[in-house]
Amino acid sequence: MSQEMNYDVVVVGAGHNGLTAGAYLSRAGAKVLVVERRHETGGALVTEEFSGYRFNLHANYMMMLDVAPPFKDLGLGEDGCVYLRPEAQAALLRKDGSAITIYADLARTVADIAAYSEHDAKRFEQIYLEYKEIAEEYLIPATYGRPVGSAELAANYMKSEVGRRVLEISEKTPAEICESWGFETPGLGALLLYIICMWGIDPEETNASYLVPLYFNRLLNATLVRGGSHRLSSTLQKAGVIAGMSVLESHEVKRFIVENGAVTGVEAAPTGTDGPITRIKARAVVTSTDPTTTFGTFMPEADVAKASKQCLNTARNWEWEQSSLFLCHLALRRRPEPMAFPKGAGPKSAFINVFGVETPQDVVRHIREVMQDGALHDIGHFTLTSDIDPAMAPIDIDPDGAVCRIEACVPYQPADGDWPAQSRAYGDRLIARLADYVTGLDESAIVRRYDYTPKDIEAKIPQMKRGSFKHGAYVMTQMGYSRPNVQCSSYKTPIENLYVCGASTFPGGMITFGGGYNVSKVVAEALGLDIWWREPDSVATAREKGLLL
Amino acid sequence: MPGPKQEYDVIVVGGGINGLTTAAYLQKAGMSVAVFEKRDESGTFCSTEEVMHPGVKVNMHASLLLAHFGPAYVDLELERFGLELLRPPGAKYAYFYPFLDGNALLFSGRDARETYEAWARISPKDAETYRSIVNYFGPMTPAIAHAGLVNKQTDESFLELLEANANVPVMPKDWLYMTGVELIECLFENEQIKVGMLSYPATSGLDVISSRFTGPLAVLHFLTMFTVDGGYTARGGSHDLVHSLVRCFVHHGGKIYYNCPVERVLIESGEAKGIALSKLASYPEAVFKASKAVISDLSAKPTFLSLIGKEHLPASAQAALARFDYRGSTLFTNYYVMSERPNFAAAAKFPEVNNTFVFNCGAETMRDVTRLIDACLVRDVLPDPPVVWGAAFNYCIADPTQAPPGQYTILTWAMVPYDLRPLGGPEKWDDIREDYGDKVEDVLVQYLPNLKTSKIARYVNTPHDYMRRNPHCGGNMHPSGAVTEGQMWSWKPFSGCNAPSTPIDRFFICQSMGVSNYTNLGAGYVAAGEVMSVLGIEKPEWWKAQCFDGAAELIRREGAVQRFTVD
Repeated sequence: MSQEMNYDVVVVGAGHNGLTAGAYLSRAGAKVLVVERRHETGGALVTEEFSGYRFNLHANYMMMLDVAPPFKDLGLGEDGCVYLRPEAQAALLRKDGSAITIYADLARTVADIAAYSEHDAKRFEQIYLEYKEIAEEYLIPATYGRPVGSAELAANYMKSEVGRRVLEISEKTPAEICESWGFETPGLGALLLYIICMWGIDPEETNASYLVPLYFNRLLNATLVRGGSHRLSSTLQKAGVIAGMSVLESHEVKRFIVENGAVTGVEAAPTGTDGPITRIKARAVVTSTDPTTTFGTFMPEADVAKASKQCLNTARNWEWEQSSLFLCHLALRRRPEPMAFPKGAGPKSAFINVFGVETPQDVVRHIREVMQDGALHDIGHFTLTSDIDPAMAPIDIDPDGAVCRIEACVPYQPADGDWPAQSRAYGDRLIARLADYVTGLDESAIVRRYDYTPKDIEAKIPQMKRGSFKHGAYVMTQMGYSRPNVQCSSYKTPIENLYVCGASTFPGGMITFGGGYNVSKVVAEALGLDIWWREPDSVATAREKGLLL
Repeated sequence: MPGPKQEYDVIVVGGGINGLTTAAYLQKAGMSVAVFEKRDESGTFCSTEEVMHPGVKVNMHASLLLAHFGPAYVDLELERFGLELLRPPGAKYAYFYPFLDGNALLFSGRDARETYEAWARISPKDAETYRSIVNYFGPMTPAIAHAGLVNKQTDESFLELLEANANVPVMPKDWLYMTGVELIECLFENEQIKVGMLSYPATSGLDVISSRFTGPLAVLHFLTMFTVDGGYTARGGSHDLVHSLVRCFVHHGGKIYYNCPVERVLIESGEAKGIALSKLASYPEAVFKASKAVISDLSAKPTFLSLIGKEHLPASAQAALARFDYRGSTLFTNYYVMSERPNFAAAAKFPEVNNTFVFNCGAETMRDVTRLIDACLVRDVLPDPPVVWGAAFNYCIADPTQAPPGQYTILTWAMVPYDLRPLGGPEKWDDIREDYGDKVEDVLVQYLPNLKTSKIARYVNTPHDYMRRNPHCGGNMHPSGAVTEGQMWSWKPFSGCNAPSTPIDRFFICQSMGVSNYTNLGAGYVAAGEVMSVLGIEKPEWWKAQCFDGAAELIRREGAVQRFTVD
């Protein structure tokens, strides 16, 4: 193997952001190498097979595929990445065997809610349409444009009706927003609050409240990638490879090459070893790592300090999330039956089936106790993945087989002891609790089980320290324009040739492609590459309205 | 969502390593090629997944990578597309077989003299026999391997091989028609050498007790595997081979459709014209046309009985397919992650075993061999105690990236039958998975004592788990079907098929032919060549590598010695 390589751009990390940047820049004519420490690219987009049953081990619910520019720009749909939008999007299962269900079709949802409460049906429709407008006019386009500084942002908000509404919303906590909806049926508020907060948004803080309309809108338009989440990253990678992008897997970056204060490349070695070192020189280094790694591990402190005290502080003071996730993946030879979904026509289950909470107060208490007390609750949601995509189970051999994923919001450090010791028992608790809501889920149905704890998240994806799957908490100092800090908010850093693009940059975590998409333009401009893609109309419109700069 | 392009020159059904090899050759040669894969990933039997703990790579099936044996390694520039084959640094041997008395039989990967010297430590007389055999066949090894791996296999070439080798000195008369056990009993006197010599060929599912021709296969198998260059793993695991093939194919403009099970091959006037997808495909029931060829990477029965349909086949082919045998033996997998480097008991006398990638163990005598083959191939019962005769791999000594720092993964394959008829059928594998895993472990710890003290976790896969993963394999871990006297060389998958051509015009197979498939990419290479010659297209200039060119290059780079004979 040659020990020195030369590229225009080296991308650190082949998660969806790194691959997106790699594909855009390759197509723009740059010679790109993506370095990935795992043996497989995709980051959180990981699908593995257990006895013929396919589990999305990490990312599963895709919020943005129908609106993300890379999906269209890179032709992922024509290239075999197909997504499915389940008929029933979310349901709150209740102990009495009933459910509150929200469908992909608004009219059907409204009719369904009306059976409980005419008032709630009307309110739901109002809120749904209002949030849809806010999301489509502002929050979605904002994801794919450069972030705006807080002072300018506030001034801009006041200029438009949508902006004023976002500002109003962002001053309330999610729990207060839920209260303002004024639903008579406690389960409806509980379901909506749950899906908004289930990925670590604190219901009692205002930090991330501006995201409420986005999450509301997007999680009721969620999609599943056919054949498994990994299909999405494979297709992204293929788009890059067709354009000439190279990938170096099973190699981890040890450090940046720094010359006269500028980053001029990276040094990588086979994962988990000290050598042999491969030196990769590049005109631009784009990293999807978190700031503690970018500014704390990859560069000597003195070099960082010389360029930016702020970056050094960010590396030292970065805050991880207060909660993480526990997943219990099940390969089942018999499909369990959710009692709330009658047999016959119609969906057999919802995409997200919430269990264990009945009121918004239950949701608030649950998340507070997880975050503050390290509590483990028998509360969560499950997805029968094979109900949506039957090929996720080996139907040729087990015609009744099913794939079930149970997910729960949990602390990184449970009060009752460490994860390795807690894992099995907690999974058992969740499975046992499901007996209140489904039939046929017992030990004899299980072919394989795989428990995935916050410790495993951290081990699998080191950028998710402390199981922090958004690469860092959504606190005021780490949100929007301040993510990861003000000096890096436009993806360019104070260190020459160094760019950042991961979940620790704007717009944050989840599979939005925002970081990878936005950094591509910045790097392409800096290197004088051909910007072959056209900004989406929604972004241009939002800019005309003064919502984006 | 706009649909895909619907017409190609060539369509390949199945994205296994041979399908990808054929596809990459033809695409690189200028044709437009599309591969249709049922799963969401290529390389069903050549995959690496994290099914135990994060950071622990589990090679789900293919483990012994021999891509450097075939021409594809060079022609398709697999290194350029990321393939990095690794063996333990400084390893003197490629394979070993430990015994309970502390002995170990060692086989060099490259140097016949090393093997000779290792055998001489066990039995000087048998070492001399080895010397005579290897000195006769050694110089012919590349040619024999070429005939076996990368030439189209014909009745004529089989007869030529028989005639050329009918009167080899040291070999008993009629050795070519002998079973493995018969031949080995005639040649060697030391029980450990006999067992060790048979252990490896049995790995490819050969019935060395009752199938004729398994004797010469056993010998030739050994000579090629262990004088040319033993097997490797790849940086990051076996799936790295698939990545390199996919990248090569995609780089040259090839197209892969995932989640696209093919329902049938479209046939008009006896000629393959395209395919139709199943209703479960990403593009449900879509039809894709192939103007030049359709190629199947599936095994014989699904290829001819499902994709083609027996109404399109001559009666003789239908009868042969009804008899097509998947049974053979199959494999039961224990996968371990250990907190210490594996330390074999045999290392006390033979320290080199701890730095050797491949081993087998568990049968001590020829009686054990008979018991094993009889249980697996004749009586369809579980060998008890189990025998690790499918090969076992010590990955991390070659590639530390396959586990977190300080951890080691190891795979053992025990030879078992698939059907479990006496227990009630293959579904019973789910019930006995962990119990039989324990039994294999009991055998293994006798040879690898520190497994007991340093085991972090174990993952067990039964043959039924593999069947769920890859139903086209028919329950056999050798996805081209059993290797029996009626199913090898030119009469595989059936006599008169003329593989890789078939009774259907413009329809080819790139699996289920030859001797056995392994990871040398030979079947895919042969199929690509056949398509070119049937279409009358001249091979481009880059299409020129010979068998073992890749191996020679790897050996040269390491500065190692390769000797086909013992002076």
